[in-house]
Amino acid sequence: MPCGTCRGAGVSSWFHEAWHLWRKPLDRLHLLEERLERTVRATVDGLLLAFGVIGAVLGAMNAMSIFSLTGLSRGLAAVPEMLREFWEFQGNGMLVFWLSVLTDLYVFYRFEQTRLVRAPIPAALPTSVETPAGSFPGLLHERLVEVSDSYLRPTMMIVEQAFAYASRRHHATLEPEHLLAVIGHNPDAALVLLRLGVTGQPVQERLRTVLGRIAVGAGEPTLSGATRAVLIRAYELAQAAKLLQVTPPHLLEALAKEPSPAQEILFDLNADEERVHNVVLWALMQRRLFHAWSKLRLRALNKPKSGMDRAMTAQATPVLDHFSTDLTQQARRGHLPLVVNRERELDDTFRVVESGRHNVILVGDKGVGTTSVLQAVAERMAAEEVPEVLKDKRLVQLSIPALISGAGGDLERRLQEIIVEIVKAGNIVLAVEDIHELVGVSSLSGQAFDLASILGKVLENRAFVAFATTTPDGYRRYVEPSALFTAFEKVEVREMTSAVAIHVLESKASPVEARHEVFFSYGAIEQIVKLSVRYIHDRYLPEKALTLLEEVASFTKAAKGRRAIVTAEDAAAVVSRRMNINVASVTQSEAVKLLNLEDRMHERMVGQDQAIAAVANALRRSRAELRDPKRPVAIFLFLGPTGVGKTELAKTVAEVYFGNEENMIRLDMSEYQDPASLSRLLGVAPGYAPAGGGGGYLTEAARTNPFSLILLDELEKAHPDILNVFLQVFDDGRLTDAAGRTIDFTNTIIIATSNAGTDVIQQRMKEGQAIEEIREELMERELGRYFRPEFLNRFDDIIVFKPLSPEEIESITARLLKKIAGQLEERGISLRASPAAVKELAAAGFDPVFGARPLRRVLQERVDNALATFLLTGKLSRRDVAVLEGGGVIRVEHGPML
Amino acid sequence: MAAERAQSSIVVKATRFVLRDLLFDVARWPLWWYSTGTVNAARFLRQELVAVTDRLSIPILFRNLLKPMYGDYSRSGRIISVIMRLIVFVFRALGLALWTVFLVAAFLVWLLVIPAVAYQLILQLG
Repeated sequence: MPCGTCRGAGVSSWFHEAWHLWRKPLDRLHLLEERLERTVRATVDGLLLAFGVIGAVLGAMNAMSIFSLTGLSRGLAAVPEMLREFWEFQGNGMLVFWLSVLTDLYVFYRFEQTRLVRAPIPAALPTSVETPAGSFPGLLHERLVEVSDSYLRPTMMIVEQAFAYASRRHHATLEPEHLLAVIGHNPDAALVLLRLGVTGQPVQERLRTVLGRIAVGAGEPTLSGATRAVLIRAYELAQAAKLLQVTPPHLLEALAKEPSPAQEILFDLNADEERVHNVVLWALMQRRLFHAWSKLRLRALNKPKSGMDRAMTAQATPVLDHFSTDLTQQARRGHLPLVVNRERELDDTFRVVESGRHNVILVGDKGVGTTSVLQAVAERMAAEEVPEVLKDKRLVQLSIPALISGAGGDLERRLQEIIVEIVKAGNIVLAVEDIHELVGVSSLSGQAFDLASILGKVLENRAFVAFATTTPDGYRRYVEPSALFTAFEKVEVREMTSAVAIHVLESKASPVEARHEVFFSYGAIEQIVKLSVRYIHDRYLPEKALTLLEEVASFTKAAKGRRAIVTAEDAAAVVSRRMNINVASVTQSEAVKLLNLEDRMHERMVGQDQAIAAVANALRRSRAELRDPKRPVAIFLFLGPTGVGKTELAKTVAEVYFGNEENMIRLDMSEYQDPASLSRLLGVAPGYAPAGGGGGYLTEAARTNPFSLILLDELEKAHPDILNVFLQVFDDGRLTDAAGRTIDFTNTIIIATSNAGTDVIQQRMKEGQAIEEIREELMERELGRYFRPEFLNRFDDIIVFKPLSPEEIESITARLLKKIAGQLEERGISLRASPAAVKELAAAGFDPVFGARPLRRVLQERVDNALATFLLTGKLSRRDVAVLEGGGVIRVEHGPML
Repeated sequence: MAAERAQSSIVVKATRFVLRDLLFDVARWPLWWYSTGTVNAARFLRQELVAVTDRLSIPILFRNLLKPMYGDYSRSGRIISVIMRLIVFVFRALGLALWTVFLVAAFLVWLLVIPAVAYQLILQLG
């Protein structure tokens, strides 16, 4: 709050039960003074050190002369005597030597002092206390904190540079904008700015504008209230981050928190409070991770290099070694990747081990990080930061493929040998990835014991400690019915949230950056996680995001070259290309496209205004992310007679929404009239599949191309059981195929067409009823004969297509003729049609039952065929004009001869 | 006027700086040496001893004194391993003792170095 009474401090803030303020004066005199002080201090240190060196040289010379006199002949026995002589030695510069020892000790003290934090920020109070009523009590208040005392030197340098910058420009006040202008000189803050994408031209331009608005004054710049607020806020932020001093990144974060033009610039460049906070956390996390990692490394050095334990009780394990890798050794050498955010799983795992239940099975989907948990266990074991049972032991990972391959009939014996070795060695903790692969494996057919039961029996007796991993599916299907079930205690590894995944990506970004020589902005990391969650449904976090991270890095390097900054747009571009869809954020040009959806559809379609409007509205809703993300993008039922444009509209939607009308999965539902055809849709269970695979038509198509339009033609003809399958798709956006895979439909648009109630539509149209009324009638009566009400309720919209009017048929005819003209144009021939000819063709091409469908055939017969004959007989050549006239006559106007 | 005031303030401040930061600091140094400094040195001594004990696996060796080495549970194996472990234990304990002596000596040097140098200075001057 601003205060009038705090003389010069200007602004103070009450938090953590104290008044915080910035009283340190900032003017040229003070800055000069401080610089002088620092110089004097450095000079004193230098002089003292130089003196120390001179003294040491003198002392060494004297020691040498004593040694050559007494020590040379008598060897080690003379050491005490030599020391005594040195002690009693006088003159010859010894005064200087002893003085220099004293100064050396003093210099040591001085260096120790500089390592101390002068005014460490106290720990934050758990609860924030209300601001006391009234204004600032004055400088005599007992709880005053001078925040500048806790500023780290580089942070203080930013403030001083800002002052110098402001005074160079003769500004009357020192504003937060000045801080923003110079904060990039600090490497830590520059890193944060870079990650935020706040760099280069856009910042400079904006800074120039806001700096130009600051009043020019005669004297030196004074600290403005806004700047004081920023400086105090930086202290508060450092306190919240549990730091002892205010670092440059926190000053930057404070700029984003306190209202000022500097904050506006940051917000303008998409660096809002939350993003700045997250990037500052990222920078902080990298430092902390590195410290934690170095500590582990250091402690791991005590671990023996060989397979032997430190108690020397172990035995050699040649067979096991042949089929396994030693994870603790890898951890000791620093070969395992850094594991972050696995504290919960590690705690659970160690708790099981400590409670004496010994064996842990980590259950999680592929990619959620079961392997990472194993690696984290290995890291902790190498540093011996584990429960007593695991101390001084090796974590050895058995490779099931290596064990099984080439074993012939010896599989069981091989495993037995390994088990015996482990038991005898006594210092081995076994790790088995994908342990469900052991179930049912045995070299002798008809054998009652498979490998899983052999291992299960041993583990049940608690012969040694074992860790295993499996998937939820593997656990349910293979582990639960096997002997392994009772041997292991289950620890679930769940998929992490997006926020945690962002942390994981941040921690793994550095090696990827080094490898590809690019630099990730925070926006890119955020976008990668967001897009992988939205568009990759068959894999899990963090693995799917990490794969994408790698891909985005190599893509950006290829596209922009070395040392490029990866932006959110780059991430979107990679996903777009991989998924063959448009995922870029709704840009200006795309917004225009979306707003003009109707126009774009009308370019391809004639009539059906209401249908187009309904579809366009639904698509806009979905693009603006107002839809339910757990259902398909949109589900429509198109009703109407044939040949009125239902399929054409579906194709148009595919083109507009998915970029290509080929992105369409078309199912003729009349082929699914009996329940047995279900297997064609969903595939057959493994084991029953015919040669060449048993994938279902629908599920395979949707799995390989999840961004498509699914067109269900003549839906009313499908068997009710088949419709029930679609009920699930409409509801949950997913379907399980016969092989047990879950297929995602949340990125599809589903359009069903039906001729049900066509006669009613035509009848009511003739009677002149409104489309809305006809729709009501169909919903209430006609459709009920084919579909159950709950099925109909699942559609986002049921759209009635009206029969085409003669005028519409004519304009379709004209449009098709234009297409033919386009083909002729390539041969240099023009085609013209008289209104009478168009009318005639339209009348011939329209059928009360089939709508405009016969039109294409009519045009083929009456126009294409005739033109083909003309071309072949040479009656029509370049520069000629073919004119269609009434009565089916085609007249040729010859062009000028060359 | 202002320049004069600034000049005088610089003189005052320079004097204060020399008095406070240079002379006062020198006076405070022995105090620090025998308070915070000594505590730090003692802490370092303790940490170093614990680390070396751990590096030489002495507690582990002691706990497993009667446990046969290399999983050899035969009678002769047990006897040999007890003897072996005792020998190893004696050597490592000796190493630890030597290191401890060295560290304690270094700590004593810390305590005595200032009076010793002071004595020498008096001796050399006198």
